[in-house]
Amino acid sequence: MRSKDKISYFYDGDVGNVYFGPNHPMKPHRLCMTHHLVLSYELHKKMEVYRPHKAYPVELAQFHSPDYVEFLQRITPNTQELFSNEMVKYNLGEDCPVFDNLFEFCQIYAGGTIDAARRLNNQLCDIAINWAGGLHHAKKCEASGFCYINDLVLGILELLKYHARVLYIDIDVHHGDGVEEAFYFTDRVMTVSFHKYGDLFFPGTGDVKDVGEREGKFYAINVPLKDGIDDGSFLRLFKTIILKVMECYAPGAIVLQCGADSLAGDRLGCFNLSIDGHAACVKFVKQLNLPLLVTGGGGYTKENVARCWTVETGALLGVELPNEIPENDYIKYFAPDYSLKCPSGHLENLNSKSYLNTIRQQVCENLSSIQHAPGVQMHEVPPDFYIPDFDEDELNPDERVNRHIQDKHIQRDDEYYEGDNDNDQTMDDS
Amino acid sequence: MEEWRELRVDEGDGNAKGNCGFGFDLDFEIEKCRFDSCKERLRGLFDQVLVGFMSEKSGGKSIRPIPALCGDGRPVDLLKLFWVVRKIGGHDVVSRNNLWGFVSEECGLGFRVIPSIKLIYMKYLKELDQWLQQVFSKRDLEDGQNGLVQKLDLLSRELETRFRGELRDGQEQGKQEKVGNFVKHAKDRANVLCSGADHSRLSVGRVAEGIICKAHGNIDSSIDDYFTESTKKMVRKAVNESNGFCKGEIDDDGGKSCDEDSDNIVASAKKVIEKVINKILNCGETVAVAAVDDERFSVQDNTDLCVVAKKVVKKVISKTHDLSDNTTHDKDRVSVEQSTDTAILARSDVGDVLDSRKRKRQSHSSRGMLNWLKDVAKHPNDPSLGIPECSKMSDYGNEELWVQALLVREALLIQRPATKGGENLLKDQQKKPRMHPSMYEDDVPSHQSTEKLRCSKRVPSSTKSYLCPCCSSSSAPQSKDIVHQAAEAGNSPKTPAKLVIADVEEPPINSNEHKSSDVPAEKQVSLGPLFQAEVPEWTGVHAESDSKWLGTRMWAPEDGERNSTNQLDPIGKGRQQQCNCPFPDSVECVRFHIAEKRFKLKQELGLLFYRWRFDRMGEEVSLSWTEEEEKRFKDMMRSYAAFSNKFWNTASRFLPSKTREKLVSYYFNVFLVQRRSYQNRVTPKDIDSDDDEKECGSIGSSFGYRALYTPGPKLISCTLNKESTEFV
Repeated sequence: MRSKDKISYFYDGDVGNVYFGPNHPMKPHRLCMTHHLVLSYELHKKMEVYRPHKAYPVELAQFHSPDYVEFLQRITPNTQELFSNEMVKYNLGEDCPVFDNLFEFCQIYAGGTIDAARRLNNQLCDIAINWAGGLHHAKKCEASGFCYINDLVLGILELLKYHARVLYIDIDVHHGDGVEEAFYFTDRVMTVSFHKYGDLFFPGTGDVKDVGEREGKFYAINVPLKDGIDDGSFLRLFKTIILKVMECYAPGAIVLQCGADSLAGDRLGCFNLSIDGHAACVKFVKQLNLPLLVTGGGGYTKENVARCWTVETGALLGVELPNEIPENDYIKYFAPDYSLKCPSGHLENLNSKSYLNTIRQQVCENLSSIQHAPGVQMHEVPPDFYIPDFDEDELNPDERVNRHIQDKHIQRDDEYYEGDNDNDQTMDDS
Repeated sequence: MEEWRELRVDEGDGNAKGNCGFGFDLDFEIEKCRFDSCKERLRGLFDQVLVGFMSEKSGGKSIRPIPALCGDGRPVDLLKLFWVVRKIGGHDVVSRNNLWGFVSEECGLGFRVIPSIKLIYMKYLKELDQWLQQVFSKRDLEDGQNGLVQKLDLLSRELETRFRGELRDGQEQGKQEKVGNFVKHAKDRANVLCSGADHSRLSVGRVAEGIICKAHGNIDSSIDDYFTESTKKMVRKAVNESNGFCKGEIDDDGGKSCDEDSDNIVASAKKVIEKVINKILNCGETVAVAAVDDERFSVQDNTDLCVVAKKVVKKVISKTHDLSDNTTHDKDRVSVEQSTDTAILARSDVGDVLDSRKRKRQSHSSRGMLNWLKDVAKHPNDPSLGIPECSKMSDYGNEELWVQALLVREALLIQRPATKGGENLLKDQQKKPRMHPSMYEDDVPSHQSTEKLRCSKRVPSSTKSYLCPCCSSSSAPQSKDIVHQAAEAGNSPKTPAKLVIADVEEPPINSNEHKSSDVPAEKQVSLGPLFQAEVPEWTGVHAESDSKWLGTRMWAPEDGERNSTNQLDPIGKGRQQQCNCPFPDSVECVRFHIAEKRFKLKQELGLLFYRWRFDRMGEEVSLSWTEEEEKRFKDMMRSYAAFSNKFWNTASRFLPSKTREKLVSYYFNVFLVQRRSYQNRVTPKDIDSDDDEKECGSIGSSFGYRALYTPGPKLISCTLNKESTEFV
């Protein structure tokens, strides 16, 4: 059977050889491992694989300040000592070290996300995947948290050329602060980030109260979570909020950052998601049936990253992968049981039901506020709204939720903001 | 009790000349002690400490099982292991001198479990040891270099001489009172320590932050009480002394301490627990308060006592080692001797003068000084709280005290302007949060503020002594600048409250740091044109999207053959469960299948195989390396295990033919894979291929044609503990 969606997958062989330096948890080699695993499951046969172009500095400067881009291009490990002031200014060193081929690395992953967005814009594919991208911490004028160039912002800017509204979803364990900050004032991008918040956890932003400002007020959604959240509670929260967002916002395209550090057993993360739980989020977003740009992100236990993103590639292709990892050059990394799924750990879930309910309520309240003040003409169906090129009747309802089912979901979720009678009232009136 | 006795030691130290540097020579103590395995209780405590330590380190994530089992299932006495290694001189020394066999033997486990012993040490104890080392090196090594110890001793001796001068001037009772006060203080302090330790012990099981805070709060409050009462006590003490109680008491306690060996052990173990907790607390604690407290302390109990008290703190720290050296017989003897000395001293003092009236007056005056100091600490910004006039000063207390107090304060403050400039830059960086703080351990010693608590291994580590040479100058500077600095040093609102069991070197500089840690956890989103992206208005018209750069299609080949192959072949097959190899699942079998798969992929992808760098993936990378080069790489990796930075900097010198790219490729494709397969076999329960500092072991010979094509089963040699096997 032919795959329903046309999928473009971006990979450049040079990206895995980059080395951040000893003891640095970010290891681009995980991208090699992911690609290798994807290929050993023969997933490439179901999709188109592209090599991204290396983004030009001028493309990077669509978001970043030109001086920062220029500095990134110029700096090398040998010259960094001469520019200590700039290093501090741009927050390089330590978390974001200068290493060989740094700029090329940025060009490749940013180019991947930009290309992916362009392919989506030109309707050359339905889903585009760039596991090398998703570096969501990078700021306009500085690096942050292992991220130098914010490819997500660049990709979203590209999507905004064709779409009135773009939804950004972030399931990295860290807050997607760079993206949120970039689109803090605009209602054309809604950012939704699920992340660990508190205990001085990096980057320290992402309180539920941060909702955006000016036109962008209520268009930034933060779902702060505590340590050890498990599949069940995460998925419930995720689905509720995303459905609500879809209802209120009706985006033209979705960007999904799939940071794998929210998995159990990550070196830096502290959540307790299994790969299945993580992938369920991806599946859920996929069935929303919109142009979808999927990127990687964090993820600091290499083999789990490779597992996770391979499973998710499979999920996007609609393939359920067998649990036994086929032989490949990196098979030893997957010992001792050489299996694909890794179970969630035994962390205590510090998110109480009442806490999650409070968060959910708060988010839904904020979302309700925008229903009454649609920024970008909501009544206008965006011209490029994705229209599937196959008959809806053929659809397996498990795979894709049509509008009707979606609406039913939303109705049911009204219970979550029962305290907010005002909004219900007005909704009924209209 | 232990503390008390120790204080005696220090008292003897402070008063009787010639006992310089006692207690800093750790090795000395260690050498003297023999391990006694009967101390079950101590062992239990150690395990508790360890569990607490580990869970604190890992953020409660991965707690290793206690007791640790070695390869053949026997439990390993961690305390003993720790102690033996420590005795030899630490992990590095043991490794360097191939002493793991000895260690293993010493632990009563024999030679066969050497690898697991080593591993257990790595897993369980190395971090603790490093942490302790860090704590010590900060004190001892740096001190040794900076001569802080000497300075302390010099200072105490100087004070001593001044004191003698005083005595000659007919103010003997001053000293006597000091001795008395000190004993009292010491006692109280010991009590505080004990109560703190009790709390700590209860809490260590969980080492939840909140509980630590509580324990700390308890310590604080008891100290609080203590301070408010201290003046009263001083008066009472004076009376006691005049009645000659002091003498008896000292003798009494001297005798007591002899009988309390076992208590000592428990007490010292408790102290370790407490120390661990205090350490953690100190990290986040306001260090400025400590500075102020030190200052207060010094004035209150006069400088002499201050120095001694600091020594006590040091002593407490050095006592951590007593955890391991549970048979303190030697030390007991020493301290008993010393306490006898002290007793004699005190007795002679008591015998010297019995002018209780005068003494009372003096204790009154030192209370005045205490009050002044309190005010200064409370309102550091208030210029009206200058230094009282001379006449008033002498009214308040003896001049010597004042001079010392001011000197200490000056010394505390003088350090700050000097370090400030250098710190500005650091502070700039500190404002930005770090995603992975623990990896900068070696490079940037102090940015406590933003890191995740559970990651923070670090203790504030300003190593400079504030007892700088200018201490000996006798003028009491009073410039605005200094008053202003004092404000910074005392920026905690409720100064008198906390006496952090602070180590001597920590306080003054770090007050800066404390400020930055005050930055609220909630960060705001930065706003402005420098932060937000420019998003154009939606016009309803598609803007131009560059269709030129859409990526280069690599797969599938565009000739349309894709569909045919695709539809026939089900994709996403897993691993075949069965194969026709003579020895399924043997090394050769697995290698064969990997090679088979690789060949298939190569055929399918064609040129793409190289474009995607599959030729540079997997252990085949090692084929382009000679055996000699591989060996050199591994040896270097092993010897630089703890300083991987150095490895990468020097690697190109040792392996000139390899570019950095090749080294990295080898590292990930061969070295790590081999290390991982070692872990897979030897330590399947603790696998981590992302920790660059893991011990690097490997199984089997290098990957290569020989390994690939040699038929028949081959002996797999374990090369992890090369050193120790050779030793054996």
